[in-house]
Amino acid sequence: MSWVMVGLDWLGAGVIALGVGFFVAGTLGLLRFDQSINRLHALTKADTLGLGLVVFGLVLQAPGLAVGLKLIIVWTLGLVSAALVSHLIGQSLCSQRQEEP
Amino acid sequence: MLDAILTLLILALAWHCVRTTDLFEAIVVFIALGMLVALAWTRLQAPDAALAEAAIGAGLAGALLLASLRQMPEMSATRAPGAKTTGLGWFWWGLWGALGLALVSGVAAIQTTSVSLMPQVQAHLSDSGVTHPVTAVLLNFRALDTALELAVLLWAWMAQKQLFVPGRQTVYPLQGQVLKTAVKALLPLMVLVAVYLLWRGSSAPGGAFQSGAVLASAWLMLWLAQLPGLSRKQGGMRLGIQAGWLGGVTVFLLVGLLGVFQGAGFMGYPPDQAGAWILLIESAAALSIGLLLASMVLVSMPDFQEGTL
Repeated sequence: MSWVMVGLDWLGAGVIALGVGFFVAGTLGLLRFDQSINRLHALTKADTLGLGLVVFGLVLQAPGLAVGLKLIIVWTLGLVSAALVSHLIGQSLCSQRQEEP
Repeated sequence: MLDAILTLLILALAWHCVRTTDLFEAIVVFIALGMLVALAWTRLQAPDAALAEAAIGAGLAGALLLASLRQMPEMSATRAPGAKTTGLGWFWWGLWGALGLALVSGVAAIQTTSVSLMPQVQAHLSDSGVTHPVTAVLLNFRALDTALELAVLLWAWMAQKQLFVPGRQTVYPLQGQVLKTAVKALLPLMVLVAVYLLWRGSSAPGGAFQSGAVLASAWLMLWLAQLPGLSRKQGGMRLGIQAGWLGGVTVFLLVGLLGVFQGAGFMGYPPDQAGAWILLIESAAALSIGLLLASMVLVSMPDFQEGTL
């Protein structure tokens, strides 16, 4: 294994650790914030940045181009579904708020 | 280490799910429990069971429970803090405790005699028409069990259909184009994944139940986005849906009967045709499972209107 590969492996591990940090922070926010909309904010940060960094780290360590591309497709789908779900939750919160006087 | 943590978490969540008096909490814990059990299946190197558990056990069953909860009147058994366990309570404790002990001793007895059927499965794998041992067992060696599973699902749906009561309107209408556009974009992908899972079942983890669960969620998303999905108001579509409900079991039984005439016995196939028959059965079963699961969840949605299905 050349030193470039070793370097990429370590860089990937570092990026994954950073992503895990975002997940921990987001989960903490989800548990500690009192309002649903704040919780949503924390959750989307964790989802977007955390998942993005973890996938980026895994791509750096990926054994081949095909695996890397698959990981990126998984990340894209995760992004789309996260955006969709948080949009729906936000909308539901809005309509509940409008109904209250 | 990881397995020990997982086992402890599963036990703790199961205990909490039974213990809690808040129904909503119990359902959320049940869904989390399903995800952890799926992880446990993965650790046991049973990805087929893990996929089915995550999609059906945690996903669709969770949606069904949540939807049913919204239709139920507010009720929550509250237990006074200092209440003493009554005589009847002790009776139940004793009964279930004894049953639990019997179960534990039974499981302990199994572990001493480990019998693996894997050599037998591997020996006959070439006759089964598929290369994945799990699919070979489910769709060939023990096909009758799988057919009966499908029949149970159909039966459950028929029973639920009879119990249908038009629900109260409690869901807030969702405005905007975001959901509609996203569903339109994602739907072809979901169908592709469903077909892929079905096709993959012959050589790797996957198959009719996993594929059906993906189809069911695709249909539910169509309905949630209020897109013109499958409506029973049109005559042809209505017949199609009814045929879909019954299709899986019917095709399974017909192919099974064909085996009798070909001399392979009920639910048996000649080895050279087995692959094709299994694919046919799995396709029909996946469609049926998708329709049945989606129908079950749809009917229990609060603002479901009769005639949509």
